[in-house]
Parts: sequence; C-alpha cells; structure tokens
Amino acid sequence: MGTTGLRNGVLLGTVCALLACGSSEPKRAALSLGAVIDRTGPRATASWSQSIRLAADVANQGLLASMAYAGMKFEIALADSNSDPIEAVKHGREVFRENGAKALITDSSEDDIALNMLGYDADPENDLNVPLICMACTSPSINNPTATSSDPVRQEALRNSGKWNFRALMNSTPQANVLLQIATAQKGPTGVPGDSNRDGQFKIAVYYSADSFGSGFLQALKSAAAALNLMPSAIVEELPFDPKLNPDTYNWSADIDKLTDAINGTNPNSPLLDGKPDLIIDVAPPQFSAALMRVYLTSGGSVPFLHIHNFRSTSVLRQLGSELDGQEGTSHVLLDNGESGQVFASLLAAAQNGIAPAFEDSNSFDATNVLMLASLIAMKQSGLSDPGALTGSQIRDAIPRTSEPGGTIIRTGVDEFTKAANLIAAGSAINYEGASGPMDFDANGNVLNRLAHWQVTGGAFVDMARYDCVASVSCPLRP
Amino acid sequence: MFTSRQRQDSRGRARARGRSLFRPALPLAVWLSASLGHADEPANPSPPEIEPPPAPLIVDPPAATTPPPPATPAPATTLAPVAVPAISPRPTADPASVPPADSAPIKNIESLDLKDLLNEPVVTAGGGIEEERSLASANVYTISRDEIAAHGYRSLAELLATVPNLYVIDDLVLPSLGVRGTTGGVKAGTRLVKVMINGQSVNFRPELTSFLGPEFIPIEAVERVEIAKGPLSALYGANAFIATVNVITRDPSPSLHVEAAGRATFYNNAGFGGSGLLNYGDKNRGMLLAITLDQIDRSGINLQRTFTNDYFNSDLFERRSNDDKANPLGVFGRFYIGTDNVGRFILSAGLQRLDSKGEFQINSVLTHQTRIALVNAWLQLRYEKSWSKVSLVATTGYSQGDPTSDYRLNLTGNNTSLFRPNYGYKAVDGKAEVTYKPLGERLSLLGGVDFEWTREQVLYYTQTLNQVQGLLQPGDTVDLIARKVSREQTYYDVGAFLQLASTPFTRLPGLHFTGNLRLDKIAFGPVDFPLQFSWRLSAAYRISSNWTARLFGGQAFQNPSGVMLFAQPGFGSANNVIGNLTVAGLPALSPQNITSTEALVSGRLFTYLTLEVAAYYRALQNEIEFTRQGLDFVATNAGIDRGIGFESVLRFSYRWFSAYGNASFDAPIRDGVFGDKPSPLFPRGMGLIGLDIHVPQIYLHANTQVRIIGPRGASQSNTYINNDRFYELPTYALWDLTLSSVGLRLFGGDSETRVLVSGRNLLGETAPDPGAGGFDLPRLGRSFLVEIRQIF
Repeated sequence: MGTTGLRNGVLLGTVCALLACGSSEPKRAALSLGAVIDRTGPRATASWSQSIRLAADVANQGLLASMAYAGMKFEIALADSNSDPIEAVKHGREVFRENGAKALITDSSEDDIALNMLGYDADPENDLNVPLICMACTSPSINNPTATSSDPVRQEALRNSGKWNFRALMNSTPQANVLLQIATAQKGPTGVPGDSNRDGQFKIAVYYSADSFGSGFLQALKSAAAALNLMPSAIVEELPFDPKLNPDTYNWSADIDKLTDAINGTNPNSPLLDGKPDLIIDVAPPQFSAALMRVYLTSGGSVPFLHIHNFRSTSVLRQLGSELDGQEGTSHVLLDNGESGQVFASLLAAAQNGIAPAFEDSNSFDATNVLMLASLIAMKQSGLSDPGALTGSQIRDAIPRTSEPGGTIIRTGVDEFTKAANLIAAGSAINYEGASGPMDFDANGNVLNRLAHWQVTGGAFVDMARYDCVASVSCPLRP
Repeated sequence: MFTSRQRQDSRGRARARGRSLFRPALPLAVWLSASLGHADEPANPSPPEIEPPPAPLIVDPPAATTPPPPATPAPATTLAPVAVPAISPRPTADPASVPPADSAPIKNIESLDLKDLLNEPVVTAGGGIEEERSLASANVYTISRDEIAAHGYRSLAELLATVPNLYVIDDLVLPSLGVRGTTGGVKAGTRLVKVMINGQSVNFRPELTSFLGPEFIPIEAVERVEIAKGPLSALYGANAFIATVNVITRDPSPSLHVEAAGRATFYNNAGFGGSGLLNYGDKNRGMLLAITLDQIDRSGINLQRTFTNDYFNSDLFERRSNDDKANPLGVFGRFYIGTDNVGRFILSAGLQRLDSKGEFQINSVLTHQTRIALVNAWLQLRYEKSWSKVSLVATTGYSQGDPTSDYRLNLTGNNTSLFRPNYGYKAVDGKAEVTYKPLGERLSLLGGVDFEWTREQVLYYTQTLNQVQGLLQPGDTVDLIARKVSREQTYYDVGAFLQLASTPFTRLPGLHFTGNLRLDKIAFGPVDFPLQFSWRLSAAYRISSNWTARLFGGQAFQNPSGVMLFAQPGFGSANNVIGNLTVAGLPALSPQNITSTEALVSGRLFTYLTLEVAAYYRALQNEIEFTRQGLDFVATNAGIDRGIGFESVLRFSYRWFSAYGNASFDAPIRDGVFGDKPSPLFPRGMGLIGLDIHVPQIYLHANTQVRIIGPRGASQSNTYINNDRFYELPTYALWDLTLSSVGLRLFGGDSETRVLVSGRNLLGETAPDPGAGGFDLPRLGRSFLVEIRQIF
C-alpha cells in the first residue's frame, strides 16, 4: 500500500509541478481591440473572426521579435452582432465598456452605421470615441460627405464628420458599374446590349435588401444603368425584401414570380407591363441568396442571375454546391498584392486546417492589421509606452498613417509586422500593403479594391477576369 | 481437465471465473452458499486465500479431444451464473467463441474472492486469446452480468458511464463516448471506439457509431462487457482507436432457460417495456434468442442557459420537451452446431432499431416533431476448428443499416418543410485466422487476414415541402444534392495481422510479452489512404502473488467516416457536418493516429482490498477536428493533441458488504505545458464510489453509488457562439440507489422471481453535458425503474 501511495504521490506531484510550469509566461501589456461581427445569422461567416484572430496572433508574434514592443500584445474581444444592428450596438458597447476596446471592427453596413451613430446622437454617455473600421460595408452612403438621410443623426454618421469611421472594403458603386459592364458586354440579335431575351430592350430586376446595403447598391446600379445610355433606356425593376425575414421560412416563390414576370412592380401602386427581365441581380446577404437560389433552381426559373459579392460566401456554396455551376457574379478579389495575399492565405489555411480563405477574410485581416499598426504609430507619436493609456482618437488619427505614400512597404506575416514595429519605433513612415488591397485610405476613410468576375465551376468559385478599380474609377479589365 | 473457463484453486477444485459484483469475503458467503444448497462449495469459513502459482498469461483451451465436464443443472441463485459449459473444447480463443463464466460449473458468486477480480479471464486485449485480467495485454475493465443486474442497467451507455475515464454524453438519442480526454467532437457517437459483440464489430457504418441504447443488444443476453482502453488497431483494425468495447454474450444453458421481464420507467411520465430470453444448448448444438422492446418517455425537460448568447430566443429556454418518446428495439440470436471432428459453425445475428424523438438535436431543438429512426441489422457466420497445435477461425458477415421512413427532422421554428437524411449502407466482411502454438505456453503465434467492403449512400437530405415553393406543391420532395455528386461511395479495407505472445524465460514464468503488427489497405471512394500500420507491445510481470505490473505501448488509427468525407449540407443553413471532399479545394482527410504508452500496477492489499493504478500518455496525430467553414462544420486534420492521465480502481469486500470506487484524471498538454482548461467535451476528472449490501436472508440486494463528473470543456461549436470564450460546465454528482430481490422463488423449483426498484439521479441533478449548436444538453432528472423478472 505504501508503494502505491508513493507512486500516486509522485504522479500527482509531477502533475502539479507541470501545471505550475504552465503559467510561467511573462505578462505583456495588452491593448484590446473589439470585433463586433455577425458570427451567427444570415450574414455570418465564421472565418472572418478567425482572420481577425489570426491577425492578432501574427502581430503578437511579430511584436515579440521587435525591439520596442516586445512587452505588449494585442487582444481581440469578439462579440456577435447576430446580423442585427441592435445587437451590434448592444455588444459593441459591451466590448467597449467591459474589455476596454480601443477600436472596433465591424462588418455589415447597417451594423457599422448603427455603431457610428452613437457618436452623433444627443446622448454623450453612449459615445464610444473609438475608431470603427468596417470590413464588409459596401453601402455608398457610408463615409460619404454628401449622404442624406431623413434622420439627422444617421446623416451625420454617414457623412462621417467626426472621422471615426473607416472601412476596409470598397463601396458598391464601382462594382455596380462592373456588373452592368458584364451584363451588357454582348449584344443580342436585336442589337441592344444585354438583351438576352430578345425583346428589344435591356431590363434588369434588382432584388434587394431594404437596408442601407441593399438600397445603396440599388442606387449604384440605377446610376450605372443610366450611364449606359442605351436606346431604349435600360429598365431597372426594383423589388425590396425585409432584411429581417427568416430565410428558411420565407416564401421565396412569390418574389420569384414577381421578379420573372413581365410586370414591373417597382411602384406597387402602379405596376407597369414592360416585359420580362433579361437579368436578375440579387443584392442580398449570403443565406438569403442561397435560400432564394435553391427555390429558383428547383422551380426551373430561366432568367439568368448575376450575383454580387455576398454570393461568393462559403455559406452559399455549401448549401448548393455544383448546382450553382454556371452562375456568375462579381466580388472584391479574395486576395491581392501578390505576396501579401499569398502569405495571408497560407497563414489562414494553416490556422483552419487547410481551409482556404473565403470572401472578405482578407479584408478582416487587413482591418485588424491597420488598427494594430495605427496603435503602434499612435503610441509612438504620443510617447506612450503603456498601450492602456492610448485613446481612441489617437488611434483614429494614426490610421491614415499606416499607408503613407513613400513609406516603407509592409506586407503580411510575422516578419513584416516585426519590421513595421521597428520602423514605427524608429519614427519611420510605413505603407501597409494588405492581403485584400493597398489599404490606402482617402480623406473620408474609404479604400479601393480590385474586383473579380467569377463563375461557379465544379462547385467552386473561379475568377474569370479582374477589374482594377484601384488604378482607375472606371475599373478597367485586367488580363 | 478443465475448460478454458475454469481454473484450479489451491485445493485443486474447479473455480468459476465469473465476477462478483459485491465481492464479499467468504465466510458469510460460503455460509449463504451452503444455505442456498450449493453443495459444490464446502461450508468452510476459511476463504481460499492461498495464492496459486503465477498463472500463464495465455490460458490455453483444452485439447480438442478433451470432453468437458458434465453439464450440471443450474440452481438458480440470485446472481449466480446459470449455465454450464455447453461448448467445449473451444477450437481457438476468440472473443466470439469465448464462453462466459456461466458456462462453468455452478458456483455461487459469493464464493469468489477479490483475487478473482484481478485474475478473471478477459479476451478483448488478446485479440480473442484468453488472459488473466491482471496480466492482460491491455488495461481491461469488465462489467459482469451480475453488476448489470444489480444496477438494473438496460443499455451499454449506462454501464459505460461508470468506467474510469470514459465519459458518455447523452443527447437522448445517440450517446457519444469520449475516452481519456479524446473525443470525436460534434455528435461523435462511438466513432473513436470499436464496439463489438463477441468480437464482431457492430456499428452503423456511415457514422462509424454504435447505438449504445437498449437497442444495441438485449441486456439479458450479455454475460459481461469488456472495455479495453488504449489503441488496439493492431488487433481489430480501423477504429479500435482509443478503446474497444466487447460485449460477451451468454452461452446456452444445458436445460431450457427462459427469462421474461416487464418494467416501468418513470421520468416525468411513465414508460413501459419488456424483454425476454430463450437459451438452450449442449455440446453440439444450441441457441440463444433475446429480445427487448421499450417505450421510454423523457418529456418535460428544458434547456438551461449555460452561457450568454442570443443564438436562441429566450422563449426556447422556457419550453419543455414534449412527447419525447424513445422506442428502442433490440433482437439478438446466436446458434451453433458442430462436433469436435468437423468443427463448429456459429451463426450470430442482431437487429437494432433506434427510434427516438429528438428534442435536443442540432438545428432541431424542441420542435416536438423530430424523430430519429435507424435500423441496423447484422449477421455473422463463424467456423472454428482446432487441431493439436493449430486452430482455425473463419468468419463472414453481412450488415445493413438505413434510416426508416419514420425519420424526420424539423428545423427549430420552421414548419415549412421537413428533412430526412439518406445514408444507408450494406457491408460484407470476412476473416481467416490461424493460431499456432509450437512451444505450448512458451510461444503462441496468431496470424490472419480480414476484409471489409461497404457500399454507402453519402449523407444528403431529402426535403419534403409543407407549403408551395415555386412549381413544387406541399408533399413534394427535393433531394438536396447536386446532380453531379455521386450518391454512393464504396469503402474497402483489407488487413493482415500477426500476434506473438510468449512467456520466454523458464526462470521467469511471470514475465509475459505480447506483440502485434497489422497493416491495412483502405480506400473510400476516390480517396486511397496510405497504408496504415498499427502496432502494440505489452509486457506483463507478476511481481508477487498479489501484485502485477504491466507496460503497454501501441499505435492505432481511425479512418474517416463516410459522413466526414462525403456528407452534403441541407438541414438548415448552419451547423451541418459537411464532408471534407464536399468542400472544393480541401485536401482529403487522412486517418488520424494515436500513440499511447501506459503503465499499470494492480494488486491486493490486506485480503479485503484490490487496487489498480494506471498512468498513460497519449499523442494524437492528424487529429480529425471539426473546423467551421461558413456556418457549417468540416472535418479536417489538425495537429497533435497530447495528454497524460491516470486511473485508479479500488475495491473492498468484507462479508456481506462491499464497496468500490474509481477515479480518473486527464490533463491535456498544450504547447508543451499542461492546459489550464479541460479538453472540450471531456471532464478533467471524474470518479465513482459505491457500495453493495447482499442479504439473501431477507431476499435483498442493495446497491448505491455516486458518480461525480468534474468540469467539462464546452464544445468548439458553443465556444464559437460564445464569441470564442471558452467555458466549463459545472461539476455534478449523480446518486443512484437500487434494491433488488435475491432468491425469491415464488413458483418453486429452479425458477426465480426478481423484483428490482431503482432510483436514478435521486438528487435531481440537472447540470448539463456539453452540446453544440448553441445549447448544452439537459440532463434527465430523477427517475425510477421498476422491473419484475421471471426466470424459468
């Protein structure tokens, strides 16, 4: 018995000793960043938060190897906005209050606007006073100094007069132009560009989410259609849907009938008989598009679709797979900037056990990187050694300086982050070239991206062409 | 001469190898035995405590020409084994042919001492060759028929939950089993554990999971259950990964043996069930037939908020399960015929119908309509023949499983359609195995080949509409699988194996070695897996008459299931398990491998106490992990998962009182140091303590036990929903009390009437177990079982 007791004692002692060893890591001063992301609900993509965490992990490894910042680290406080702006506000405030987040990463347009509005309403108590950087906002109204709204608070937020709001994804206006370039690239027998149903006119039906994302995209499409200067003029039929509907229970059939018939119900009070559409464009969150397409494909619809960036979601592909073969659309490119994109892709694939980056993963990664680099710049400029003493406004002001023209190019990866940290510590300018694009912020906090024309082939999205919206607002086709 | 089920005690008498639940010290037991008319045990108050000489590791079957002892009618004592040896000699040792204890001459189980618990024969660790448990080539835990009866267990899930370092998560449909810190993740079932009946793997192939409920096998047919922990692919091929569970069935009795039982279970509502067993046989022919059918109503439980999330509407937490009935049906039959000269043919067959409402399924919470209904059937024909130094076993089998037409899945809050999974299979398998003993006890060689061929439907869902959808009308169905995707895939596994067992040194008769090697060639649809190599080494040494020490090492593999490779999404828009090959561009899943080493010491202290202590290290490579893609899960190969742990089992027995307990601890190692959190879906520590009181004078046996489960890590899914914040589920304790009658002979003769009343979870513990998809699994509260059993 004594032997057994001794053996047990030795075993337990060893375990306890080893457990104690596990907590011997030196403490590093933490700077908290919040991410209020749709982790559940119809807009959610799990890999976004994975990309955000990856950025922090890479940065923390990079800091350890740096000369000046080895004693600090970044922490990510995640919150689920559940595809609901009200939840975004609630959890954004929690992250700010409970985790001391110095900046917030947001995703959808409505969530971003709702959080940004806190700084413009009459209640100073709810002001976050931290920069927001949105990695999935495409509404042209956001960060638009001429945006209008019946709600003055919303209008101020959209105009971003306080410069608190940034985004890491280009707005939908260039994409709308590219979509219609693609749609009208071929002339039918009637000689009218895009007239695939040969009725002598080009008509598109836009099925859009009745929120700032959908409405903004609709307006961009209408402007792009008008700019085509077709004869006869391009017709845009509008059909909104409630962004809060349940995609699993919604009766999509009725809307499909409206989209495919010859009646233009843009004004429900005075429908017009103006012919069947040549094309349907779905401006919808991913799971809405998936549910819509499932019904559409099983009901034998014949009007072609042209999809937008949201369709490129993994959720859509998972639900419909190769049934989508032949479907086409546009999106921001998944990866850009050569080495920056490739390094990010390999890092994320490793973190996800081989799963390749999905749409907007690189934007999530870049948004996080920008905030972290800006934090280091702000600390340097303010002469702070304690990241906890940083203020949101200091980070806000430093964000544009992460991409200084003429600064040393910084790409993605641990070594590159170390290099950036050392340069910042030395007071040198940096120019971050992200995995999603150049991440060059304009005066309104917006960036430009390149676009891809994709097609589903063999159950996967395959890029067929690239449009360089960084080089020119006309988004020229690149070979 | 003795059959393989017998040993000689110090006085040269045949001793049954059965296992007592309450392991009483002998004086009272012998007196009781005598009083019950068991003349084969002298009424000698002195227990047979004199140690026999160290037994050989391999218990050799008798010579083929040796007749068995004459069959002795079984006096039907309460917990005593019933049957006598009906099949002898055993041509070769194999789990499928190993006769259970009840085929030994009748012994009152009270006549067994604690040493028998350590020296009882087990077969699972030796690939069918019988070994003493304390010297077996793996850490084997056994649960006997007596224990099953004394606790009123009706399912494997119930009894496996009491095994050290096994953790059962019950979603009230298909329990999942984790072992030593390793789990299969979301809805793993028994994927990481090979579950067998008499050495024959019995599972639902598309998910590589066995039904652990009452439908697996009528519990009446079970003689004992052996749980061999550690990697055993080298013996049993793919998926004998972290443990192997082998259900050994009863052998036929020489006279017709009939059991019939009726029972009522009470949760919030009453349920009823019945079971029966018919058992008869002699040396040359025999049969065992058993059936069980229950209806169990689990209604009335609700979800608990275990973390802050807005994933579900709050009203879902207010609702209770309704009409949550399970109707498990299990049928088992075993028939044999043959002679010593021509060999023996054994036909075994089973039917398992899992039919359960699913109130707590992912994406389908409290719908009151979801019903999981699967039927699995299997059949095996076995031939055995022995010569002087050589024995041969050849088997062939067929199995088939499908969802029944009753299977339906409803989405939470969505009645627009219902879903039915398609993932049936048909499989054939076979094995040829030869054992050669050129040097008697000194050396035993076993080698053979086996194969399995399975045709599986890939998992896809068929949606049945409840409302108009485009051109489709209510009642129309849509197969949620792309036209280009193959709906069936073929799997094959061809394996070759070799086992060497030896007691190499004459001067060290207590030192035994066993080594195993196995190669498997596996392909599944388009995936051609690399050649899989498994090995196992074991060294056992009898230190003294009371103590033994063992060292084990081995490597096993688990190949991905059809669901992991090919499953299609479709049941709702999130939380589906999607096949690895369904995701374009993802590298094909590789088998995962585990390497484990273990040291085990077992022995006896102060006559009344036995102790077993084990410590192990495990390293899981190419760990198959569920990674989120979009909002679904995809099986991927992750890195390495390491951990260490220990287990201890203590038993005490004195007169009419016995007590037992076990404790286990598992610590994951992360980044080279011990993790400060428990593994997901597995407790860091757990234990059990219980006692038995056996008072046949008043026809009573009482058992009570408390099982304590330590903090368990949340699932990856729920951690994600909790914004990547890991959380633990709190410790809980379950107290059970079971009273059963003994020796009640209402109808005289050899018949016996048994009455059992069991209270489960008497404290009404409601602490949940880890779930996924936004909720943790609620626990059934206090329940009661009343059973009346008549044995003729």
